[in-house]
Formats: sequence, structure tokens, C-alpha cells
Amino acid sequence: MDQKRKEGGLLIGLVLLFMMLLPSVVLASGEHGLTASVDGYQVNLFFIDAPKVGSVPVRIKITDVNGLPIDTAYIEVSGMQGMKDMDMSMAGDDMSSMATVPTQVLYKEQDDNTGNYYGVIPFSTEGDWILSTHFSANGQVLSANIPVDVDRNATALLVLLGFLGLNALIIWWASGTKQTPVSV
Amino acid sequence: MTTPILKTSPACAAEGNLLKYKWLDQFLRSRWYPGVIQWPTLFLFIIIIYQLFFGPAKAHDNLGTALTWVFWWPVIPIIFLFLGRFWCAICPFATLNDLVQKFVGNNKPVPKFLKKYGIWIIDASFIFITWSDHVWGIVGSPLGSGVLLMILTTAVVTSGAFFERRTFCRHICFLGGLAGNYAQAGMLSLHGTPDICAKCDTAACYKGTETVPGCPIFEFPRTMTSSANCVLCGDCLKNCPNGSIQLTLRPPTKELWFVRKPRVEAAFLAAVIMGIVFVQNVTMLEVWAGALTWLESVTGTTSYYVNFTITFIIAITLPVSLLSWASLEAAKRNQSTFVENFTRFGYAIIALDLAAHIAHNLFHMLAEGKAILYTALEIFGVNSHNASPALVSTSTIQVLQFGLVGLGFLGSLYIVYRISKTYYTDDAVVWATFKPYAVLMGCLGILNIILFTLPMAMRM
Repeated sequence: MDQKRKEGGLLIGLVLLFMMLLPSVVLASGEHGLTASVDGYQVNLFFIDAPKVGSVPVRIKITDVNGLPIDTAYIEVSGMQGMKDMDMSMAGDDMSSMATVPTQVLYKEQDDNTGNYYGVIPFSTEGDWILSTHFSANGQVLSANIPVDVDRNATALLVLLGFLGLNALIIWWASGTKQTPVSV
Repeated sequence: MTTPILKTSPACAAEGNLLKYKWLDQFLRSRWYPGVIQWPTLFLFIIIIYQLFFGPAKAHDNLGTALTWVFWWPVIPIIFLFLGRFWCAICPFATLNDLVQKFVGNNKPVPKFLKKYGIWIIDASFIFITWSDHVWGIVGSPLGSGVLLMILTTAVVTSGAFFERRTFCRHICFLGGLAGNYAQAGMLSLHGTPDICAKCDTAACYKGTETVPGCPIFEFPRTMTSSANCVLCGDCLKNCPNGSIQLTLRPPTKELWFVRKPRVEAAFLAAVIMGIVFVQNVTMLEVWAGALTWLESVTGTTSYYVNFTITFIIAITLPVSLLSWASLEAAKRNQSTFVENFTRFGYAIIALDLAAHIAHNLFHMLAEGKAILYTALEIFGVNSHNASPALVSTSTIQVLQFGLVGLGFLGSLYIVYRISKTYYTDDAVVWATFKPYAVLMGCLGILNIILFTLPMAMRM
């Protein structure tokens, strides 16, 4: 019976270990960069973590033809879902049913002259999105479209972890209430 | 506990006993059975869970969705027909239950309320899951399907951790309830040999032995008269010291010709299943969108919750009402009460249920079958370029559907006749009882045929 209890403890330990390690493996973070060019300007869009459903912090850096950052730009970002594979000429058609990102004005940190602009993009669903970046530079207003694949894995992982945690808790509780037979 | 002493079965001599085939007998007695099928199934289940949570977001591209709703769900009623509740022996939830129980199981007795009301809980959960699938789009959402499977997993783990044997499978699982009904129409039957069991004083089949546990579903083969709760796990066969267990083939629906202890909740479930098949068919029809618009204009609301719930209630109520009407009519002619008639003859719908269920899923399996291959290939980067997922033409599927519904209708009619013959000796009463139920089966059969003539939308 002791052997059985040891095996039970080992099983619970493995489940808990799995739960502790899984998030760090799957949610391994790091900046995710995407780029687009327009009239010689390069728009670099960075997500602090992989883009997922919810409010996602972003950083945008725009460089001119010489690769120098422009830091006097006024930058807006808007978006529309499900546009990645779509012919952009259809943009005038009825798309009232499609999810959108309302226009966000990005801001620059005080005393930051590195050309970095910051903001938060609220993605309502996973899937393919097009983010439209509108910015002013040298008196011109330019636009660049950047396709973004919004990941559902983070949400799914949280849901799965919730269930795994609940199951681990049930197993742990049961192991505590299990009565060991008294040998005579 | 006792130790089995016989390795060969005297019951093998009994006519029709499949265990006379040595290879089958040895396989079912082997310590590898049912594990050799259970463990790969659990492995596949883990792959499905992974795909549902982390695979493509669109159901159309998700292997987990394809394996669950295009392969497993359509195949499962066919398994019930040919192999009874064999699926329950290898079901990953049952394996999880046993695993958790082995290490941390408290083995508390089944709560009394579950014993008393378990089948009503099954009825309610089956209705709720079907309703929630439609309003929350569980089948169409890989994440939704994943959540459903994890809810079931949590319920199974709880049951295995605290209660004895497979309490969940016997008293709570909605699929177990469905399987129990369909297995009675199935072609495989496991039972003890009465002469041998009569001399037995060990009851090892129920209690278990040092090496093999007792029946996981709380059945006692000595007194078992129905296949509704036999999962063909082989434990009783391994445990029986007298070689009493038989495994026999029988004509489909034979068990339903005479149900020794009919239960009103099982008869109710039989009618409910027919309603659920109607709902599944109606909402997948291409005319459903138009019908919904009409319903919106009648109810004055565009809320899908409201309009679908109304449709759902009508579909579920229809077969229950028709069965009630037939039972009222029969009660006027055979001197049995309404409840007695409802309970006895409700079982006759099971044959038509099974046929309509298989016919409905046949569309998904044959019209979308290749989706399993395509979604699997996509994992390895091979794109199917929107190739047709159909295995056969729509007209072929329709012919098969009509044939199945026809067989189910005849099966149900014959069950009604046999039940009447069992309870009433006077031929005039037999036929007077038969008539209203024949009208019931006719109505249900015609409704199914009409629904199968209309174009249906894909599941994926």
C-alpha cells in the first residue's frame, strides 16, 4: 500500500511539475517584430509578446530612407479582422460584420529621441488582421498596412491550465482524504 | 476476494457462444485486453485535446474537430449497433477514471440520489449539451469542443477520485445513457450461463479477484438481463472461476422485444433522442436560415437564444407528445395505464432513433470524411487547396439514409408488435395496441425522410 501511495504522490508531482513548466515553455516571451515599407519609410511594429486576443502593448519605430528614426511623427493605428488573404480593393464593400480595432493614437515617451512610439491595440478575436498605420512625415500623410496573425494560444493555454489546475487540486484533495487500510 | 480457477469456459459449449473461438476467448482473457486498445485511444484523445486548444482556430482546418465530430461522433452509434457498449470499455474518460482511482481513489459508495435519479441527470445533461452546442457553437469552435472535453474530464477525475468503480460512466455520462439505450438494440450480448451461475457462491464477477477488479459498471452477470450497462471490458470473464460467461450474437433490437424491467426515464430518453436528431437535422438544413428569419418575425426578437430555444423545445416535445398520445390511445384499448404503456412502448423508438442518428451522421462522415486526411496533412504543411472532402456523392448518401430510416421504422414496428404480444394474449388487444404506436412510428419515420430530402450544410 505504501508503494501505491508513493506512486500516487509521484503522479501528482508529475502533474504539478507539468503545470509549472508548461507555461514557461509555451509562453516563452520575446518581442515579435513586423515590418512594412512605404515611399522609402520603413515601419517597424513590435509586439512585446506574441499578439493575442485582448489589449496588446505595441511599439512602433519608423525610419526614413537613410535608416534614421523619425521622432516628430503623428502615428495612428487602426485595424480590421479577416483581411489577410482578402483583395484590398474590396475594402469599400460592406464589412459591417467584421471586427475592427478603433483608431489608436500612439504616444512617445518624454525625452525619448530614439523614434519609438507606444500604444495598446485591442484585438477582439483571434485570426488574421490587417493593421493600418497612418503617420505624418515631412508634411506628408502616409499609410502602411501590416498583416498580423492574432494568436489564440495564450487564451487557450490559460483555459487549459485552469482545467489542469482544477483537476490537480481534486487529485491532491482526494489523496489527502484517502483512508489507508489498517493491517491486522 | 477469490482467485479465478478456470481458464477455459464450460459455457463455450453453449450454442452461439462466440467464446468457442479460442483466439477471441484468449484475447478477451488476456491481461492486454482492453489496455491494448485503451491506451492508444487515450493517446489519440491527448492529441485531440492538443489540437482543439492549440491547433488552427477554424474548425474547418482543425484535426481535433475532424477526428471528434466527423470521425468519432458518426462512428459511435454504428459501434453501439454492432458491438454494444464496447466503446465505453476503451473510452479515454474511463481510462482516466481508472488511473486516478488506482492512485488516489477514495472509493466511496455511489450517492443514493445518483442511483435514484442518475438517468434523469443523464437526460437533462444530454438535452443541455445539445442546446449549448447550438447557442454557443461548440462543434463549430475547436476551443469550445476542447472546453466541453475538459469539463467531462474534470467530472470523470472527480468521480474516479472520490467514488467507487466507474460511477461517472454508470450514473452521469450522457453518452453512457445514449449508449445504454442503443446497446439494447445492439447485436452483441454478454451474460452468464444460468445453470452454472446458480451453483456459484463467489460472485467474483461482481466483487473482483486479487488480480482483476469486479464489474466497473456495477453489473452482476448472474442476474443481468440487459446489455444497457455491459461495456464488454472482459473483467467478469477473467474473474469467473466457473467459466460461466457467454458472448453471443443476436438479431438487432432483440433485447427490446421484451424488457424485463422497463423504466420510464429510459423510455423518455428514447423519445428525447428522436427530438435531438430532429434538432440536429433542422438546424443543419439550408432552409434553417429562412425559418429562423420567419421565427424572428413571429417572436419579435432576433435573439438566437430565444428563437433556437423555442425550436429546441418544439423538437424535443414533438416525439414525447406523440408517444404520450399513442400511449393514451393504447391505454383505452389494453387496460394498462398511460404510464405503463409509455414506459413499455417508449423503448420501441430506440430502433428508429439509432437508424436516424446513424443516417444523420452518415452525411457528415461521407460528405466530409476526407477532411480528416486534409486536416492531418495540413499539420505537416500539405495544403489540400480546398479539395472536396466528400467520400461519395450526395445522392448516394441520401439513398443510404432512406434505407436506414426504412430499416429503423420496420425495426420499431416489430418491437411494438413483440411487446404487445408479450403483455397481451388476446390478438384483438395486441393489434389494437399496435395501431397507435404504428401511427407514431409512421409519423417519426416520415418526418425523418422529409428532413433527409432537404439539402444539408456541412459540419466543418
